[in-house]
Amino acid sequence: MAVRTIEKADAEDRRQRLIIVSLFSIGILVLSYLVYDYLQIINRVSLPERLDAIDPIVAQWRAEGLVDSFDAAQAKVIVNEAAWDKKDRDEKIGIVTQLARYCADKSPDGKWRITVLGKRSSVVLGEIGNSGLRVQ
Amino acid sequence: MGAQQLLIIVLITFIVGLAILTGINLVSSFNQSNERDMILVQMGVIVGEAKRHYSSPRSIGGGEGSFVGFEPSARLTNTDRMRIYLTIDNDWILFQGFGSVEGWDSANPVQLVAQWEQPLADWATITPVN
Repeated sequence: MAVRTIEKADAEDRRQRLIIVSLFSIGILVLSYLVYDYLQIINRVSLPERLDAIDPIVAQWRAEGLVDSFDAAQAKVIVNEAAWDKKDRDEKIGIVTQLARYCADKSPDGKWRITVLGKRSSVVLGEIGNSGLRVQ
Repeated sequence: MGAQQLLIIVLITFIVGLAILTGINLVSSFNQSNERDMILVQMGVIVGEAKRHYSSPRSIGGGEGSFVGFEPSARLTNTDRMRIYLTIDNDWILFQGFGSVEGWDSANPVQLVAQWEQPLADWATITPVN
């Protein structure tokens, strides 16, 4: 029968506690990364490639308070400045480009153009026009 | 088996599960990044064709200092891995490229928007949208 001294048992106990604490820390770190990754994904603007899927997206933006009105014939979209400012530059560029392609599809000349205006200020917040793509 | 050893086994199982999830995320992220790079390379190829049009005289069907009239061939803009849409003016081309793998939103393909400015002879904007 193997004999374990109290010192050896204590050392083994400490070793196992250290392993548990280390594993727990690794688990927390990996879980934090996954949560961070998930938070990066949610709330991102969803932009479909198919133009026939744009209408539901615009309706969704209206419901969320981002878009106040969208006139495809005039290539003009009026947005809520506060909601617009919450979007990062990449998302704004995505929205402007996608809506411009949508308007081009509806217009006879097929030229991409769109003007994004602020609802309160009427300031041009983004556009695709004679000088190309501009977003602020 | 002691309670501590049982806890170690549970924690190891948990960490292995998380590691698999992280690995899947990393591979997916690598695929997205790779696809965006491929789209940008393809846009560069189209810019090369557009520049040839820009510098050619009108007498041979070129733009003579303008991109207007340039139409890339479908094999450049529509491949089995990507679709590229573009709009053109005198001295700029705006590209919107879609890949074949899902982007950040986990619903739509990766998307890249880029604008080539001829006066700069460079990209004015390269934006990974999704």
